[in-house]
Amino acid sequence: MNHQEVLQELAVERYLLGELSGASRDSFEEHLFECSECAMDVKMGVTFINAARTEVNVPRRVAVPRAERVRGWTSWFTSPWVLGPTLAMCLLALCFQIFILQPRLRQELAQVQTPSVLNPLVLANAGARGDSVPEIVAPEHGSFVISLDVPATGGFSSYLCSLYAPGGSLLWQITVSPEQARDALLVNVPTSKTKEGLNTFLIQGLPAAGSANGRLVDLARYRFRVTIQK
Amino acid sequence: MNFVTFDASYVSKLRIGDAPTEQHFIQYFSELILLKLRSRLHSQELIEDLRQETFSRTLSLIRSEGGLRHAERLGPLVNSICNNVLMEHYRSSNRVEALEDKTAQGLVETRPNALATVISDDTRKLVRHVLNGLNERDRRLLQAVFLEERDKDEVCTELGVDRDYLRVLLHRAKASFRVMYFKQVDAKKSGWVFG
Repeated sequence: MNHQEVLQELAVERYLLGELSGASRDSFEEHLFECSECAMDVKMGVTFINAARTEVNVPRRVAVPRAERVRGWTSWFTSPWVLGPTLAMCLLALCFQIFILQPRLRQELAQVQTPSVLNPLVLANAGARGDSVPEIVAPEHGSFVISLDVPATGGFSSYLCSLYAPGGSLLWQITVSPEQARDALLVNVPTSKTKEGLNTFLIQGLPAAGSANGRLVDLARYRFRVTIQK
Repeated sequence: MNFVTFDASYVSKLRIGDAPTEQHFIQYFSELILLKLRSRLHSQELIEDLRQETFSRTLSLIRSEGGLRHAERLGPLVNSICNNVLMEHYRSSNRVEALEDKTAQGLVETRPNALATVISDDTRKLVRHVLNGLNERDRRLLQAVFLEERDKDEVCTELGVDRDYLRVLLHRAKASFRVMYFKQVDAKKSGWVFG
């Protein structure tokens, strides 16, 4: 048996596995004793098998791969690029509340809780000529009271009071029943719901059901000037 | 484990009784003789006796008048003398059949012996590495064949492979081990510690 035949027939492996016998084993051994490469191969095989005998019985030590965390759609929220600015904004908002908003609210609350005499702005005598335009100085973060005279003529189921800004835009509306309209109405107006300048209060009557014309009827138009005290 | 070239100088040193050369000679051929004898004999003591007898005769012949004329024939000479020693043993024990017809189940010694004990921790690590690279079936195959020493045909059938697969598996495992072994040797030579 020559070296080429040994390689082709995997004779070393056959020898190690005890598959060679008789003449083939003798032939291989003749080659083995004169070929240092095959001798080394056989010795390597014997060493491997001897060591494998003990090692193959040892449970395989395989590092458990760390489970890849599945990043859900909310993962962007925990990203430092988002979390950092968000926390900074939260801190800013908190500071604004503590140092600006809360003192202002406390001040306003104190004003509300302090007993005071109300000087309502009286809006009456609609249509009277030569009347001067009444004026009120309203606190910026407070309110003022308007004493409103609704011309309670009959035939209306309710009255609509609308406040218009100096520019003509509607600021707010309130509906008044005929019962409420019998006396002067006291309307508390938050300053924030008005605009500085010449405001207009329009009072309209809503005709009762069954009347021929269901359209609102203008009853009075009061103009007053608001000056906001800062 | 190194490639060895037996030349005139080597034989000459053996002839004059150079201790390191003689030690190398005995170590190199001991492993081969043990493999050869184990495939034919069961008795550990007898194997050892025949091994020593083989070396005794070989060294006597080398140191005799005329000695060994062709140094490159040193290996075949050792094999030939070992065969003669074996034959004489068969004749003396009237065991003509010997174990010739038996397969070499005991080729690799399972009992503790000199060869087995020289396996270093480094070598075990290398083998462990090779084994860890195998799939579960291949590991099971080697375990059944070499550790449990089960019938190879039976194991192959059980695991759905043939004998060729077993040979190739051993070939690949051995080749991987060999590559890593020499890397380790090179690393140690250059001051690295492998593994």
